[in-house]
Amino acid sequence: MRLASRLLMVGYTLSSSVLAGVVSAEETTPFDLSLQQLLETEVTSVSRQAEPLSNAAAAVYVITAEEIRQRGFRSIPQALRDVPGLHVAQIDSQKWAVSSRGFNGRYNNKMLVLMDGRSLYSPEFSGVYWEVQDTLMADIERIEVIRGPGAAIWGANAVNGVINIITKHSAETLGGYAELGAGDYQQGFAGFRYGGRLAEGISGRAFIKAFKRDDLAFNSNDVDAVAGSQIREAGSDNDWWSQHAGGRLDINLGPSASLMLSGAAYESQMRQSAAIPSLDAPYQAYPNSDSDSRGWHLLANYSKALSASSQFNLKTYIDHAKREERLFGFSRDSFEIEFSHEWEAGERHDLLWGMSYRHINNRLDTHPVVFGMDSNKEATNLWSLFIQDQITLRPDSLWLTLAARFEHHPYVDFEWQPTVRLSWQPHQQHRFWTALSRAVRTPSLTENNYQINVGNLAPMSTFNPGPVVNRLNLVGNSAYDSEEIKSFEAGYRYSSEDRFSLDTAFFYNDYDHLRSLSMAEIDTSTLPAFTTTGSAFTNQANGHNYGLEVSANWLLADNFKLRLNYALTHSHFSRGQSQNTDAPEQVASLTANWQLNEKLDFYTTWRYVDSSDSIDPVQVSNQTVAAYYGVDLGVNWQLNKQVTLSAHGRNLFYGSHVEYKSELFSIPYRVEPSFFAKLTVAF
Amino acid sequence: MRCRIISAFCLLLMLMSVSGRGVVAIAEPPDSRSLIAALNYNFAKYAHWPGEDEQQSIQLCFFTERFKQSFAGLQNKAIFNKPVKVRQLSQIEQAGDCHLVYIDRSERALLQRLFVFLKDKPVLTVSDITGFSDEGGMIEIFRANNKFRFKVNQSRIESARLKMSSQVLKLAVEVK
Repeated sequence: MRLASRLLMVGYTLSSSVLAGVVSAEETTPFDLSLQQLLETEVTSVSRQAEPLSNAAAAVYVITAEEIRQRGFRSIPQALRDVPGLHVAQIDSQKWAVSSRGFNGRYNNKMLVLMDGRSLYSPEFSGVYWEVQDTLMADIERIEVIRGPGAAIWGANAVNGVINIITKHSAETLGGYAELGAGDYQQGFAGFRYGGRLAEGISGRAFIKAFKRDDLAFNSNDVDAVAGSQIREAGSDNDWWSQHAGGRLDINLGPSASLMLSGAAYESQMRQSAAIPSLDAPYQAYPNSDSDSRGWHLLANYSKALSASSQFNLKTYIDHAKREERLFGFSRDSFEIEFSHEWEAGERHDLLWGMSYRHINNRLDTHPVVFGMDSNKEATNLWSLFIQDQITLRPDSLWLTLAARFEHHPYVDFEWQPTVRLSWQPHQQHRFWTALSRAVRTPSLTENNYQINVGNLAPMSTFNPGPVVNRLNLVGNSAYDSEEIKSFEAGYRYSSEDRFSLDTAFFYNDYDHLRSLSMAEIDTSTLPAFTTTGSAFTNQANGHNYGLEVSANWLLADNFKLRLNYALTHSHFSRGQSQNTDAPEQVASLTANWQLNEKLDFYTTWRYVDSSDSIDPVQVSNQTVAAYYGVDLGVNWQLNKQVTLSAHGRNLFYGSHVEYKSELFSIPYRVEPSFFAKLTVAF
Repeated sequence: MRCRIISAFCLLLMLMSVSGRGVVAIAEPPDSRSLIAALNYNFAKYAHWPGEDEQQSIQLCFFTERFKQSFAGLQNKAIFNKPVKVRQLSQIEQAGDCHLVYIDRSERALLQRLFVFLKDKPVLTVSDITGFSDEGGMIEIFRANNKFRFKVNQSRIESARLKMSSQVLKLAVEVK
């Protein structure tokens, strides 16, 4: 009751402040000022309008540079946390599980992630090693999150979403920037960037950053008693450090052409615990060991305008990644070249077409737990061709988009991934869109080629009546095919004249040929030491999910913004899945930003994440992660033109909690409230 | 426990909104987008186009939705007794009819096609894209110490057969 009356009061005060804002906004007329007066006017706020919503016929959400600055995001997964339709869960100090519209897992394979057009998707396991995908957060221009199938343009594996991380043009980062900070979980971080104009039409920047992050806590109540005491004995350290350096050069080649070159290198050293099978009782060990990750890339992007209506783009990159863990190791070299051409053909057709070739060389280090079946080396060639036509059926009100991508993947031959999208704007403030798409998720190297020893069953136990230990192996299958999605989406966007906007999307996804496991075959040739049960990857599972995503923005006053993000997902999948399928039923967040004056701004985010399930391949049952909520709070205080101090609290007011239980190898850790302070200097 | 936290959050919001109202009640200074629209209006006031006398109106154009509201305020203005027409462009080819085109920094990707298309056409180009005046644009707006400043690329203006009044040139930070 008391809560209800408080809510009413909040409602009242909020709406009265809106009125105050609207009334006074009409008094301003900068058009009456002379040029001289305009140049003397202090710029206090960016805009009095809510940011315009995307016109795309897809569920798009954008995280801006301003949001990254204000909310002090220290990593990309953290920035993605409150995007409606995404489920972001921290696994341990380094690892994150990020998914869109279900299927969350450490190796979530249904979402494509790109940084400046470079794929961050790992073909070994399918998925993204979020811990090594980093850059100076202050150099990110925006992060675009497109939920739903984006495969027609972005390529295979963009089944449930695409995340595009776009860094700033180097002309926008001139001068020096330094950041330094520390806290409890963030034990220390430093970053430095310098940008300059090297010659007329050439600008560049270079950055270096490093951080050290503390352990997340292990609590033996989160596992069974035997495992708990084993892990306590072996140690559960998961702290890590990472360093990263890179740069970007933008060269203006006359008025019609430009060239962008970028490159970066990183190294991370991580402490981690892993649950690995053992042939001795209790048949599972939890060694705590170091894991190393290293990589670098070079990227070039040339673009040239041929006319007002025609422009082509040529992009190429090489990317090297290496990872060494107790369980396995790999090194990968990728090369990609892509040509694309945008062409406005007459008043009605806006065409985009292109082709790309990617070559990947993988080398797998054999380990007792993850090992290669055919050979330790694998070279893959991917070819693709894509075309999109956006047709204006009625100027300014009705658009039809037809797009398709044809791809050749060595494991599955040809795939075609089409989409049809319709967008209708009956009125300036209202826009409806709908889309039908098909996309595929191509097999990973693991599914095609590797074997994984996921667990060992004790002799004379429930699932192993035999007298010797039984090894459970997942076996790669060269006949394993693509997973397929057929998706229907619809959305509605509303923006009021100025202060309110609403973006909603509904989806219904039908999945076929999802990963399952074949009937086990028992190999007794290793008796009397042990037996092995091998289950091959097959495509027998299916299911569907549907849901609703809402993002509402409300500019209550010029200096006060509220945003509500909400997603509801229902999941219906057949039994016998061998990956996590279900999204938390409800995820919600409410963010308030308050710019007190030119020097001081505050934010707070309250978030709620429903309980979620993840599979446990050894125990053949589901594990549940309980629902949790938390609050982020922060303040940025601009001391003078150069120096800003900020303080941030994360995951407050809930206490420690597990956000994710891994389907393989990882042990559960607890995310705790944390704090850090940061000093930023611009010069 | 849970209930207490929600109420604490509500309380926090309430506090924020109450003090937020206090700030809004003070007379509002114009926001950056209205200032940019006003700058464009002033540049147009002091510019001269070839054959201007025969034309019925002055067309001020911009690209993104972001500037719709701020440019809308220019709709009933006049420049030398000619009505100002404001137009949002969706394709570059539409820029040929404009007297002035403003392209904001979110549309950097359009720049090359815009320059190829306008080449020496008498259209005044204005932008807040850093490096705009070096890359082939005419007037580049930028911010220094929380105030707007601008640079002028006079040789581009001349090669497009435009004239810019000295009133504007003398206030520019850089003219080349």
